Amino acid sequence: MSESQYPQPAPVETRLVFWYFVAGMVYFAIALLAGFFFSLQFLNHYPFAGIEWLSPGRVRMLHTNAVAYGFILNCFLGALHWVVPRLTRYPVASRGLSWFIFWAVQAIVLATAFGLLAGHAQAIEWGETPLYVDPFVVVGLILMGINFSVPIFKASRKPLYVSLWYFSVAFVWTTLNYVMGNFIPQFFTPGAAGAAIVGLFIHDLVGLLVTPIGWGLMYYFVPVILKKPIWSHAVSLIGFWGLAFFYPLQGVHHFFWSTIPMFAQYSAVVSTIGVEVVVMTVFVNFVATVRGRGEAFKQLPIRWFYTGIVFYMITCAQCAYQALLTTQKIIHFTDWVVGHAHLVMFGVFGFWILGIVTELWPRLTGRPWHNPSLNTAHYWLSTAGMLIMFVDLLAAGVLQGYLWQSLAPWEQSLVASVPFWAWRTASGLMIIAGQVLFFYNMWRTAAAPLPAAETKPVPEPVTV
Amino acid sequence: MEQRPVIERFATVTLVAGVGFFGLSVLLFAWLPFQLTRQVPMVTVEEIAKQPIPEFYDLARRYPEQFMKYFGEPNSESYARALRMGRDIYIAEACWHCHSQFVRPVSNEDIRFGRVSYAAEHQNELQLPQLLGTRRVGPDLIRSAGKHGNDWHAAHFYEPRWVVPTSVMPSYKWFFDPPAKPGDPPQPNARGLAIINYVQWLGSWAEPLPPPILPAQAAQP
Amino acid sequence: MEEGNLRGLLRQLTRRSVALCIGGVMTAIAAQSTHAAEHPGKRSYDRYCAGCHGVAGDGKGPAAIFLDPKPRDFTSGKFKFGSVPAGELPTDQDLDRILVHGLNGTSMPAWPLLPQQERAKIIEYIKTFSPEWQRSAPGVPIAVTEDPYRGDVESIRKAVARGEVVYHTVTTCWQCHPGYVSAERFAELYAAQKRRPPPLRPDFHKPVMKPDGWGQPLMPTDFKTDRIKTGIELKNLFIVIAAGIGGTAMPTWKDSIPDEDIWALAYYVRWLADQRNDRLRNLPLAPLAVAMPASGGAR
Repeated sequence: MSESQYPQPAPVETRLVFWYFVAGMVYFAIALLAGFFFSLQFLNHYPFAGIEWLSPGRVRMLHTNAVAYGFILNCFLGALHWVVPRLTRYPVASRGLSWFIFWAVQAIVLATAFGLLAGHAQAIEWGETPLYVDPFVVVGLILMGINFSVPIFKASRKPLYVSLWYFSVAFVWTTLNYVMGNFIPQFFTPGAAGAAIVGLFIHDLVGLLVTPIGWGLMYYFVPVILKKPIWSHAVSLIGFWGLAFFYPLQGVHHFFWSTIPMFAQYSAVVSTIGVEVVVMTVFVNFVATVRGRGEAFKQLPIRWFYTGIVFYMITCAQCAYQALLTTQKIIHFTDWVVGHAHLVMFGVFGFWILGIVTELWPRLTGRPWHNPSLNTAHYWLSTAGMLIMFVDLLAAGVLQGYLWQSLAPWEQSLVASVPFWAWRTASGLMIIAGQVLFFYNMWRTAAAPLPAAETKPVPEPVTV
Repeated sequence: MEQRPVIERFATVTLVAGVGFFGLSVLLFAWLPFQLTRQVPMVTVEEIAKQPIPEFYDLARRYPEQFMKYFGEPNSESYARALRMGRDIYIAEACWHCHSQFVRPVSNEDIRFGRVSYAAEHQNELQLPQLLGTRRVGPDLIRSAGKHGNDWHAAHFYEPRWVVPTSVMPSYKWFFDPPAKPGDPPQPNARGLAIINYVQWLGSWAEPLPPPILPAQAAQP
Repeated sequence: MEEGNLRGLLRQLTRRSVALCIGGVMTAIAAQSTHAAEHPGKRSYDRYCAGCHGVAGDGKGPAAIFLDPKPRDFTSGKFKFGSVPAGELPTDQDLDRILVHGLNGTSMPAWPLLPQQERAKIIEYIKTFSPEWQRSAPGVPIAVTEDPYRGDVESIRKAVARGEVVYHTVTTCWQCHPGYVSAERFAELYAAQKRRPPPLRPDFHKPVMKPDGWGQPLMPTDFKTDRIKTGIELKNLFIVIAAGIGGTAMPTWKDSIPDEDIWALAYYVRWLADQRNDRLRNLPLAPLAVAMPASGGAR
């Protein structure tokens, strides 16, 4: 694929993208290890038992935070630095600011990791970042917003492409959300009202940061790699505005049957089902885009993207089903929810990121992939591991829910869950094995000698 | 100049979708529940500490040296300190990721745990931030007051599988000082005493107590 | 070419893991069937009880060093709480009651959700630890006589007043448990019977540590602060006082004093326990005194 198929690129800080991806993958490795070790606690084989700083509870928070802020945020920022200048044809606000943000993000992630392991966590799910780091996160989010908004604003003299709607609004949402979720329940609203706000925060962190940036990147990479425009602009509009309207309204569905006022719980059911309708439109839009282009799936990035899109459809269908008050009686508090969360964070956004890195890594390093078949194995191990983990945790959740309802002694739900937890660890190992291949391949690619000068620096897209 | 539909402009997207829709959600799901629960008085730790639970005094009797060393006399002041510290440990160790703190009116939970939760019991300083929880690997804790003795909790925190062989809870050996002489059990330190007291406090306000046989004014024999 | 190798590898891996799974299931089934010979109560006992009472039933589970009072040693064949005279073997119902309700304030939790058949199997298994169960039959439960004080506030007050007299002057419970009256009141109670009051111990308002039958120090209950192990229902208090507590200094009072006085003591202890509970009745955060809607419809 030649450079001319992309819009005329504005200056892209390629090295920055490269380092964002490197940082993201390092944290991804840490997150994978943390998750693996934590899962061993469920089998009573935790290797660091008795070490306070590596207590399983703390390592669990390290796992989720390393995924959200270390892996996903870093990789998204890297991808944004690649995409935004290309789409707007303007560079980001400031090169210096970009590098400052890069180092600030790493400092914040490391400070968070330190705080969590030292026992300074804040009791906000997905917001365990210690209270003393939170103000810096807010400043960082504002700076990111400014950095990317300047080129988008400059470009808005012409109609903005759909990706840019998502990007420009994501940082506005997340800054507001972060302030609301980390400070109001901490200082002002206890109990039920606090839970309502924390519910909004939990949901909006996924829904208003990760989801919009993820979709924005899909709206860029899928048409670019397929070399055809997205199927329907009108459907894109419906998808964006539907998501923007419904997504913020459903946070309370994390605390159904709690002491939060019932009007809020009922409304959360309705809006959760509402967003599912919206997501279906986006799904249809992407399926229609790839329709008649079956050979495109030979390209590994497209395979990653569309697997993620199908998983996204599954999680959202699941959302609409599991956010019914009736379903909640059984599945709330169980491993079902854990399976759902893994499918969203890894099966969807993780897959998209891995697809993007698979696509961009040769272009960033100027070298072809060291061994493309390792990437194929990476895809299959990740997909199989993810599917096994998802189905396994879903089944465990149903079992746990009914055992609790049946009034069996609590111990029985533990004994019954152990085989499922063992499968969860095994499937996690599959995922880890896939990433090890990928990391190895990334390293060998980057470390390889540059191809001879006469060959084109940009290699052919990955095909299998 | 190309035609720019209103809904595709930068300002529309950031202001209407970004600020507007988010503000709507805050209005409906943060401000309104806050207004509704505001009628319920917010209870401070000092108010709670006016009447320490019997298990607090039991801790002072059971581990006299440790208790004296870390908390002094068992009174309202030391009780408030222990409650705050216990809550902080509950957060730091991420107990709230595997234990919830509300009993739902469904799934037979009132039979398993006890009385269904009500808004007023969460309206206190120790629920800043709230600890309702979203996952139960272990059971709910909001009705755990008095269900086990302090000695059971000590053994359970030291090594959960010693009392519950099938448990998957991590052990918390750093809640304990080494025993004074070999053969004795490890003694809970400040953190151990605080977390035991916190768990014993959870639900102490809603323990089912049989009515007194004599009304208060007729009590003197 | 590398693709082909990979496929081959995957195929082989799949074949091996399927074989491994089948092997595992077969082993598990085989292991299950070898367990068939063991006592039907052993699995539940090991799961729920062995942590404290020990796999061998000797009360020396790994948790035991932490616990006070110590977990029951089933190999001794001695039991504390039952409806039979202290020292005799309890009935199955007595043991079942302890499983369901636990022993308040001790490390013995309640197991209300353990199914009845499972509890029965555990009880049968507990009986295999001591030869005592082969040698003798459980004792005959002490009959709970009719409560002579049942009625209005007036008669309950009479019962509590009589209980105070019995507690301090007849059964002299204060020798181990705390005394609950002032020194003057104590003298008054004896004077009313035209008896000289015995000398008071200096820590009259505190319980006195006594060794129990297993060689462990045991603190008698302070009814105003402690949870009462078998609960505060009048009927249960009557049974404990009448039957006594095996292996401890708490004697069988049945036939030593009239049943009426046992009832009076039960009322008095309940009245003391109510004072403990009254302090806890209206803690901050306590529910309002309105009936909650039953949750039956929404299960």
